[in-house]
Amino acid sequence: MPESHREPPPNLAAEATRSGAALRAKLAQQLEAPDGRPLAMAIEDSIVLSLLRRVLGTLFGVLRTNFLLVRGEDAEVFGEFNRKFTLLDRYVLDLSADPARIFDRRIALALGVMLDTGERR
Amino acid sequence: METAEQPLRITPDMLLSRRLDFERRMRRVPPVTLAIIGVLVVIFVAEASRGALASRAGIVAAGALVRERVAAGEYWRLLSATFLHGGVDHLVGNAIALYILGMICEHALGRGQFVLLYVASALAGSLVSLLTSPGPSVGASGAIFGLQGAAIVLFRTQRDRLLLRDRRVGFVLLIWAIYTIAGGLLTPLIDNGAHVGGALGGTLVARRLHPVVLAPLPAEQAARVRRLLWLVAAMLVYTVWGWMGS
Repeated sequence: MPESHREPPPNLAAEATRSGAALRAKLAQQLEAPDGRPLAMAIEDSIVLSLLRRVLGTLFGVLRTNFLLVRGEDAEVFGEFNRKFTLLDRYVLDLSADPARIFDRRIALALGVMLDTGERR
Repeated sequence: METAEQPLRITPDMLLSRRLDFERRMRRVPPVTLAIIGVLVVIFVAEASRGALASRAGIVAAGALVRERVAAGEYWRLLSATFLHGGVDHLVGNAIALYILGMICEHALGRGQFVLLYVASALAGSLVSLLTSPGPSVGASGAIFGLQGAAIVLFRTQRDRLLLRDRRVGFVLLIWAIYTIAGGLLTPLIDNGAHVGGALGGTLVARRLHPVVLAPLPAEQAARVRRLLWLVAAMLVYTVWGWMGS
């Protein structure tokens, strides 16, 4: 079996909650295990772009919402979920900063779909 | 049957650790920027309470930029006009832009260099405005365009040391600047000369400044910044003196 399809622990079903703890005016989604243990958080990648988007709108599509995936106390960045500036929608889920594959790829994919849905794209 | 994977070529973009995350540790409460916004608000309240917004004569008396008055020796108007605004929406729009761009530039350059950049951009905006329009003209947008130009220069010149997502900020700021200047061409009420002048001034000044976000300011340059800040202080005193005496 390819490692990217590795089974998660049986009780590991991610639950996403919009977090009010994002003090940086950023949209944030926190992933929690069923026992409430935080797994990771998806936050907008740039406070500057976030503020500009609130003021300018999408600015001809140049201002897009991209996300960083962070975990731990020091908010270690272990992945990104980005929408590319292309005619046909193209999304890139980049988990190359998690080479040990600590974060389950299936949850990352589901998170990407959820983030995109949350952005009403 | 498994096939051998192709070797992966390492590109500079993969070496994230060598690059700086510009926004990491960037203050959401930039003190100098907020102080300037506070000054703009206080001056606007004073403007409105004295009826300066009611007529052309009122705004000129309040310190607006007018070519013939500057030619007559009222050079303090080059700076005083950049602290005035023509209405609430004008003030709020400029304050929001100043907050965002000030947050970037104050983080990138430090407080001293940021003040130099702001004042130099304001002066450059006023000078080009004088060349392109007889006035009266008011607003901080020349200085704000200077900050925008400086930020674009920073993200461009330091692109090899910043993360890709930070470089995107520079691209967005460039599109925003072009969009705003193009919009300014469509209406005579907008002083595009101040916008273009401020942007040019900020762009030129930024090339002489040292991004402290990447490395500490060298002692020699820090001393030069302190000397120039004294010059800025003297200019502000002269502006206030002219303002009060008008």
